[in-house]
Amino acid sequence: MAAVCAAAVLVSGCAGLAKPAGGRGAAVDPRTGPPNYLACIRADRLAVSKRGSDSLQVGRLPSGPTIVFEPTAGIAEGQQIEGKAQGAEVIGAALLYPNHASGGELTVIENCLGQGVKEPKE
Amino acid sequence: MTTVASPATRPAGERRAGRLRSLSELPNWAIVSAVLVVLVAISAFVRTRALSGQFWIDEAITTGISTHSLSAIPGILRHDGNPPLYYLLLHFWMRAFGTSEAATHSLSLVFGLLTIPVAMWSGWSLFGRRAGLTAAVLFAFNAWLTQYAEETRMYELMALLGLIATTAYLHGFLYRRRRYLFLVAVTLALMLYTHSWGIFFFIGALLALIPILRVTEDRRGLIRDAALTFVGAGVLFIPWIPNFIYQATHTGAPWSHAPGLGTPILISRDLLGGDRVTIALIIGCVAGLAALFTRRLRRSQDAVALWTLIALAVATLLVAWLGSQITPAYVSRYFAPVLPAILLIAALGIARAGIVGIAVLIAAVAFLAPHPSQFAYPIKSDMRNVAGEIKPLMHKGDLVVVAQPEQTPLAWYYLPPGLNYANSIARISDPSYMNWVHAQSRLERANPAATLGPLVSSLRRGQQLLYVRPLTEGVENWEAPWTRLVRRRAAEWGALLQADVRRGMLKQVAWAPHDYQEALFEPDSAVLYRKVS
Repeated sequence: MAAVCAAAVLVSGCAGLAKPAGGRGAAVDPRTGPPNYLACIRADRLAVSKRGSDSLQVGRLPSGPTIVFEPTAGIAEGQQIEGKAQGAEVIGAALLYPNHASGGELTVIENCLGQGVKEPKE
Repeated sequence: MTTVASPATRPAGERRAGRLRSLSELPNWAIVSAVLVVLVAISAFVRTRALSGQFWIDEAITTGISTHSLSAIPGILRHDGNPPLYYLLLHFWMRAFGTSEAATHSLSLVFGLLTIPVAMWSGWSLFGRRAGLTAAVLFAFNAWLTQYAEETRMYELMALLGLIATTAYLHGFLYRRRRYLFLVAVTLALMLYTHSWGIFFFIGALLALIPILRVTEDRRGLIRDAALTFVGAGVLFIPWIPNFIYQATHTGAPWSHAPGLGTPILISRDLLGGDRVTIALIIGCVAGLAALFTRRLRRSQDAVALWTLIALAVATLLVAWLGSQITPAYVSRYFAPVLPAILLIAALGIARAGIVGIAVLIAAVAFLAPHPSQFAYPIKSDMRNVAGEIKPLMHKGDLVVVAQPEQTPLAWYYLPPGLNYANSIARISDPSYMNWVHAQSRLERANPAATLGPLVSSLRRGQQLLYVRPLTEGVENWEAPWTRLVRRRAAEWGALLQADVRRGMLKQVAWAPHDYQEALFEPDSAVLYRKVS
């Protein structure tokens, strides 16, 4: 009888009460999304690498553009308003520092960063 | 002996019938006047909810140009790209009422309110009393007219002229009331003098003769009248043609895209006020106009009028759409010339739809009237707030650098006098207008370091530089060649200013806005620097 009850409990899913050791949370990397900005830039054959936990470096400094991802578009905008990101283009939650990149390179990156950006009311 | 009950003792039903009888005995003009007064009053209330709302780029440019002398305005407009009529009218209006937002918006409001009696005349004289009343109601509550009644631009004037031109066109060419042809010629010319879409309407009106030519028994006479009318309008436009050619070959709208296939959405959303209104009007049109497609009625005057109105709207939009594939100028605020044709079609349909038409009209008004703020947003830009915060810190002789060149007149309008101006192309002697002549290539050629260096050097120690740049939220506004370059240049200039701060040449002393409210068109932020060494 006890064995039947134990089997019934298992089948009914009560076993699921036990949490996995690491919890169920999963980190989302803003660079790989979705949208996957890293893959988008790479798809256009630009050399791009991760830098730190929230940045991408296209090519090499000092000429290659740097992209920093803020948690929200509002924070990125706030950085600009306060004069803390004067050298950056704000595109959604991304701050794109052009440095000395060519126009063609910047167009590719801007198009990638434009994916999924919410439009203001108009 | 018969007795007559005194008024006080008559039954209630009899008293009501008596009142109705006396109402029906009122002369037509009294009823029409009463309806018009009520409609204009309600419309005026609806269309003034954002009357003192802040300017955005185009309004500041328009006001800036109109502050110049009458003789100077045509010359300045060579750099801008628009014809002069509205600017000249606004010049006189501002002399009388001032240059505030509410004062200048009021001119558009007047044009918008004038469309109501003109629409009544139009619908009534073309299709009968019920169509006249319906047209007046539609024009009184139309979302597009509500939006641009509170905008210091020429669009309401264009809609008013378009309504007069469309009405006179049907009278003159379809009903062969030839005295109206003079009015057609004059209004066509005035439209050419008001906005570049006057040309598209001109060509659209020529093409819209086709449905009339198909049914007329006097084809030769019609062609002769059309030639005289359109040539007459063209002759009236001759004085502006040298400027027009210069504008067409030197200025453009590099901020705009070649249009796609979204015109029906633009008409539904921006012209009519959204899906619900559009569906209501379509129901009214189907109910009222379906009979005009039957064999019995398809050659009736109402049917030909309907086809002419459709041709006028479609041909104008098609010509504009094709033209905009070469030089983009296709945004819904330019649709003024086709709005009258669309609303007159709706008025004809609703008027013929009986009880369904009345229900549709009530529904359309119910969707439009109670929420005017959804069509006229008071915060079109945030420059007034930005300037309001920074103004107390600025001194005469300080330099304002505007990263988006066409925002310079907006900054100039809201900032105090006595400041110097530059944009990301060059130093500017007159910040009250935007020079669009070859603007794209000039911005491409302007080297940020070579332009900014002398500007900073020209400042004395203690003088300030205000850097105004657009908040590039969203993507759609920043995909055209011009806006994309503006966004890049803004970052490049910002990087140079940051470098000057690091070198100890400049010091950041303030920024704005501290309370950013989402603006409708390309809002700005500003950082104030002081020269310290």
